[in-house]
Amino acid sequence: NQSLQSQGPAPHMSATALLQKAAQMGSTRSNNASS
Amino acid sequence: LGTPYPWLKELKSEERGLYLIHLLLTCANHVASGSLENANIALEQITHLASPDGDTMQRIAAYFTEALADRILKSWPGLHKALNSTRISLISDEILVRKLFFELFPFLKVAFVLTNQAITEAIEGEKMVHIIDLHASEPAQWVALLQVLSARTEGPPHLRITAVHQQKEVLEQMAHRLTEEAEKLDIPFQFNPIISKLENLDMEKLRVKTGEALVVSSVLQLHSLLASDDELLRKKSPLGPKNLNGTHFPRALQMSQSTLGELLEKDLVNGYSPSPDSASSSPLSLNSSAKMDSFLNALWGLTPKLMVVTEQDSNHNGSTLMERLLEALYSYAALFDCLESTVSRTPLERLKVEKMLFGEEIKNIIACEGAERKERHEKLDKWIQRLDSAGFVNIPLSYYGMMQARRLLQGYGCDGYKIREENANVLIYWQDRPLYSISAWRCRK
Repeated sequence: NQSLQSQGPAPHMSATALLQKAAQMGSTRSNNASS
Repeated sequence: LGTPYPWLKELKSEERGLYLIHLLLTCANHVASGSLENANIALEQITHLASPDGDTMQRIAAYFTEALADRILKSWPGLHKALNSTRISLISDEILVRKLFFELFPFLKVAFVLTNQAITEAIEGEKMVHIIDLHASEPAQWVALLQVLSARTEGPPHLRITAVHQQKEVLEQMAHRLTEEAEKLDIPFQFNPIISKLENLDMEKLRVKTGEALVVSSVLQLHSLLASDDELLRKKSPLGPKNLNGTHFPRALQMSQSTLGELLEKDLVNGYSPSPDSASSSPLSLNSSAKMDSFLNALWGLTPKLMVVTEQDSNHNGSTLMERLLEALYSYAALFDCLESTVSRTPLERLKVEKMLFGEEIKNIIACEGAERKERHEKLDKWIQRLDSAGFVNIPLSYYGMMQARRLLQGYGCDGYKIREENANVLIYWQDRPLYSISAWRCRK
């Protein structure tokens, strides 16, 4: 049902996912730097 | 008026969230090293982005900022006390917030189901039962147990509940509710209220008698006994103008998507690498506390048939600020995410739980030291070590209890919550993050 799907606000990235992404960006960077 | 950094307003939710994480870690580093001016600059930047009614990261950031500011302010005790001197804490608010926590999350309900099932099985056939509730704030648990006991095939036991809480009003409400229920179900029941903080509990007042089956239940309370003054001997570096060599902010202001990674990398590497003075908090060593030792020793001396312990399954008792801040960021991120994706109540109720319960816990973890720091949540493995060395044996939680708990979670209609068995014990998860542990114990003979 399309009308139901369009009701909610655009989902934000969860805080947990943001923390994971922040940590990942850190480790990706350090991998790149070492290669 | 207006923000001096107009570009901050244009950040999208994700960029803003990542930038907030960076700013929080930067600020915490400055607070930890005592460079107050830099901490102040970071705090000011955060206040342009954080918001108690924004998205999840904005909300969390608002409470961590307040906590960091409170920690700084504590180095001027006069200022700190003056600013808090007219603070009113209403018992009715505290009761309301506990109730909201009970209703909005499944954690306490799961803990109660598992605890009650463990009790029911341990006291099968017993005629005299005495339950000690070390933090009696929620009658629902015991109302449910009364109902189970009234249906026992051998008939209900004589039940006495000794309830410890520091507020008379809370105990009065509980006494009223439980007495009413026991009368309705025709169960011989006695309520023994003890108005006391757990740390000052006089064991004599528990009036434990021989011949009764004794059960101890502790929900989110034991960790407060880890608070001690010992650490005050370990002096923190004082905040002062001599320590002004932090990171340079102009660099952070020119931040683009690509440098954010570098900044975060630095933050996280700095954050995770143990600083020299954190050697004492390695996972194998226990934070010893004379208060905890003597309390557990006294409980053991009462030879309870069963003790059920529910605790926050987080590592918020590290010795350094950075350790605690990082761990707390992850756990409270999970708790705020739970609310974001499940809450069906009014925004005001959500705000109250976040501010008056989690916000206060965050403040305690970040801003307090020594005896004042009560929210010393520790992981299950530490509790297992501690209770084991106090002479208790870890016993498995009931299989039937697990089934009930699983059914309860399914009824929640949200697949983010999970429960997992870890050896004999149970952990409640939000997604992949364990948040609460439940374990059962008996005395080693």
